[in-house]
Amino acid sequence: MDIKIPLSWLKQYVQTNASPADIAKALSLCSASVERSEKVGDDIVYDIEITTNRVDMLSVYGLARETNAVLPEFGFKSSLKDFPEGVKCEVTKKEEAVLRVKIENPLLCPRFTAVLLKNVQMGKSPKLMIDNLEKSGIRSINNVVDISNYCMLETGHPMHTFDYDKIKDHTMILRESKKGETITTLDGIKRILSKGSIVIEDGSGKLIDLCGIMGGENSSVTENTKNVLLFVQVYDPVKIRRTCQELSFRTDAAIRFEKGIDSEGVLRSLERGVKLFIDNTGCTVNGKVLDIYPKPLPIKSVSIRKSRIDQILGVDIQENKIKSILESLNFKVKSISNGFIIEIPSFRTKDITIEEDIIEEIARIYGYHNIPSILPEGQIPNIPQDRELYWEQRIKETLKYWGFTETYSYSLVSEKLSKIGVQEQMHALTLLNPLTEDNQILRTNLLSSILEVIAKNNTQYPSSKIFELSMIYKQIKKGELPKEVPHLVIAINGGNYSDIKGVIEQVFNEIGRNDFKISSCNNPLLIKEKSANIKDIGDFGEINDDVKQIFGLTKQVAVSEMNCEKLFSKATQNKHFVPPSIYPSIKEDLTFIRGSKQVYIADVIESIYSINNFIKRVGIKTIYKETVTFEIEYQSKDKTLTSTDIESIRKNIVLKLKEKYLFSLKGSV
Amino acid sequence: MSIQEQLLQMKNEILAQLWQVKTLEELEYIRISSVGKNGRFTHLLKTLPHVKPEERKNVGILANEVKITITQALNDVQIKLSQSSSINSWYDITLPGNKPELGHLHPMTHAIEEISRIFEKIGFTRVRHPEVDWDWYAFEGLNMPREHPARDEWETFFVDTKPNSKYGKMVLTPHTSNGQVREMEKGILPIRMINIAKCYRRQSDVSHEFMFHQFEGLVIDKEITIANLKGVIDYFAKQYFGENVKSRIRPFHFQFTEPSFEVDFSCSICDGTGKLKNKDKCRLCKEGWLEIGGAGMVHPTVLKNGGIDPNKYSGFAFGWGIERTYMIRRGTNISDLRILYRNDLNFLEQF
Repeated sequence: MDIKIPLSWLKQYVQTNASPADIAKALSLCSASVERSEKVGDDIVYDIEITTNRVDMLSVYGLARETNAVLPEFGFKSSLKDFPEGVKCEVTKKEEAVLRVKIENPLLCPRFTAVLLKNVQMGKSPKLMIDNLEKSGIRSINNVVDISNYCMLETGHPMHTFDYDKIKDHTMILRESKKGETITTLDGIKRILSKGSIVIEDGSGKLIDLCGIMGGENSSVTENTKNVLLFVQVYDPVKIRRTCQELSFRTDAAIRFEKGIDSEGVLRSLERGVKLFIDNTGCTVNGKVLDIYPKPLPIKSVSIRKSRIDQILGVDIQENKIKSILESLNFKVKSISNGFIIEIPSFRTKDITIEEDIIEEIARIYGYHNIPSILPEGQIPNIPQDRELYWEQRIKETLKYWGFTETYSYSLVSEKLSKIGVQEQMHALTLLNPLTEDNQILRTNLLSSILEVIAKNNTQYPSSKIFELSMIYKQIKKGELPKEVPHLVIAINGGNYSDIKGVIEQVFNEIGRNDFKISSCNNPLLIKEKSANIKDIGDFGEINDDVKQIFGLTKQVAVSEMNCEKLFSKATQNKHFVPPSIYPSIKEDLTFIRGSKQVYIADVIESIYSINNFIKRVGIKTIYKETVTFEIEYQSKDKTLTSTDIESIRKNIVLKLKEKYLFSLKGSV
Repeated sequence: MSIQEQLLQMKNEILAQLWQVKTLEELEYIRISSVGKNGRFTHLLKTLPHVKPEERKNVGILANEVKITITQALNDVQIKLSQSSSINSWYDITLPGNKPELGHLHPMTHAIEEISRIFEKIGFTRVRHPEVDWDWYAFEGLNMPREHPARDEWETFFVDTKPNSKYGKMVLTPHTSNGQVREMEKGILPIRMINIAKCYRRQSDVSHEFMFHQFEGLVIDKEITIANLKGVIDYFAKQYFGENVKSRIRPFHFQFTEPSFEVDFSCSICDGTGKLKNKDKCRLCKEGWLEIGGAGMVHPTVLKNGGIDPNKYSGFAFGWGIERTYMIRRGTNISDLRILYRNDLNFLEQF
């Protein structure tokens, strides 16, 4: 949480010769980050980021305490003044004529204090108070409201003021709200509560306070108020937080209560408040301060081992140094045989619990900049490289060098997009609280996302080649985390079936797989005749007209989506060297005219290979309409083949192709 | 000498001359003097009518052959001389070359690769922990009990599904720190892990997008100290940003580390001074420092949750945004982070 604090106010409680810049630097390096230093008139206002665990620093005095602890380490003199001056009041545990209080559950309000101030004269606050408030970002309203705010900023304890005479029967019942109860808060908004908010009901049964967050309008102080009830409490942080979340609003007071207020410091903060009231409103204290504090905070001690300090820091700090640092932070240090016993001040009991918490206090004041920088010297873990990550990077680079551009699209898609390209009834996971409609479902395919990219860039890049490698999220079993599977999607705008097939064939070659095998597929996104499936890995082909229409595309687009887990499972870097034959090979072209039978050329080629072992390679030289020219290479490991050898093989090829596939040789054998 | 003999001799002489020719001018001279209007050959042909009739046919054929040979040779030499570089021929060397195709990897891939390499050099292993995880790994196991205000720091996306009785609600992890306990659960020590994965937070503005990447380092061993954390941070700063870049740590608070730090690197635009050469304030950094993210010594509760004895082992962790780290580097001029995921090809093709 960021707070603003004028340096002039801070300096009321810590005296030092350090400059504003020095103070800011010292705080930033050892305490809390001073995000900004703004010049306001003659003064400087610091904007400081206070971390959630340091509620003790959400006050001028708390920051003064820190400043006093850090400055000496930088060679500056500093001294801490006393806590803001208050008026000593007599205290009573019992309710007297002043207020009848019933607290249904002390856990809701571990400490309840209130004091009656009579004959309060409302008016304008003194200039210093207005200045300090406004520099801290709080608007001045009138002296009564201002004093509560001023005191909260100074001491860290939020306080509230009631118009005493509006509290029916001067009775307060502090309890949990019931579902549906309402209260109109000071800002005029009617709040509907659920069960479990902390509220105060007066003698009439009306709710007069939304505790810890905002007072009720019906009990608030106005120009006609004569008698003020000053109220300083401690509330259950969890309940305050929950109420704020449910009602979707938070106040400066609530923010502090949520983090846990120091119950031991309540009284002297109240006394400070009383003094400010007496000095500025002409009122008098009536009766005693009511203080209901059934379970005072026990004194907390933490023991720490010297060895542990050295172990975490990596430097050896002298015992004297450790003591002086901790004492400057209000810790009480007692040396024991192997370390210390540290007594924690009440305002630090929330965030100091274990040894490491104390070590942090020592280290930060000692100065992290004073700790050396040493690379870890231990054993380097012996862990094999992740195969998948290796191949993913390899294939990305390969695609880049083939002219493809990589995209990163969103893992979350719209409902509409999530339904495109889904074959199996795959239930996609949805978000309960998406940011936008376009990004609410965890995608189960990459194809639709990449077609969006193609479409978006279509005008400027009508023939783009793009790819993406990202996770898809597959809900395997209800109640289990989805399986995150990396997929590779490739798209060629303007490309055809052969284009995408070629890329995939080369991908297989690059990853050392020689088992590229396809079969027909039934993908609702692709043209049936111009698409194929690679078993377990995925489909590829040209997108069909329906899909083109959805994305506003007119040209052909060839795509492929592959399951990388399966694709790379058989990837290998091992190359198999086959020594070439010392005997020369013979190459020849054979041209055939296709018959009427619909035949897959891959089958034909496989057939040719099966005819004779000397057939080393069969390639397709040209295909033009009904004519196919094969380039055939013959070779033997053991001898030089003669034309007689070739002749008989050739005859068999021609025969088989005629019989099985109705292919006729062009020309003669 | 018979006319046949003359023809053949002439042919050989002309061919021999052509063999020696060095310039187009010389070639032209030979052309004119051999097959030109007043050339030797032409001249010889004029004597053809004086040949005996019965020999005329053969002579004619020979003459024709010779003419073809000479003409062919003249042409060949012509071509050869035109192609070779001589002081007279000019070639436009600034014409664009025939470039092989070159595609582009996304800047995030570049960054991830580079960051991985840097850490791998000092014995880290790159891993990838889940993006969709249980509340336990993302928060509770990291010492953030349910209802703890620390959770507000991360605006979390929740998945619409039944919570797990042991591990709580299903979330999109807002930080790669969910990998810490998961890594510890593998049961292998020591640990030097770099977890790089996508993270998600419910916010979107010029410096934040709801989907982004983080890299999380985790080192657990006996006797790991704050000095070691500083060592690794410093090493990374110099490797990724440059030899002159400094790093520093300041107090902060995370529930899963104690002590906790915020990490700064010195700004490379203003060389860590906070001011540019023209004395203006550097707009990128804060007084010469740029905040990169958080770090800390692993909280003993977290170690215990991972099944590690905090009395025997200690460790540190850091988790930083890859987009931010990438954009801080000098020369990367992206003003709105969301452009990284718009997938405009004219942007992607610049990488």
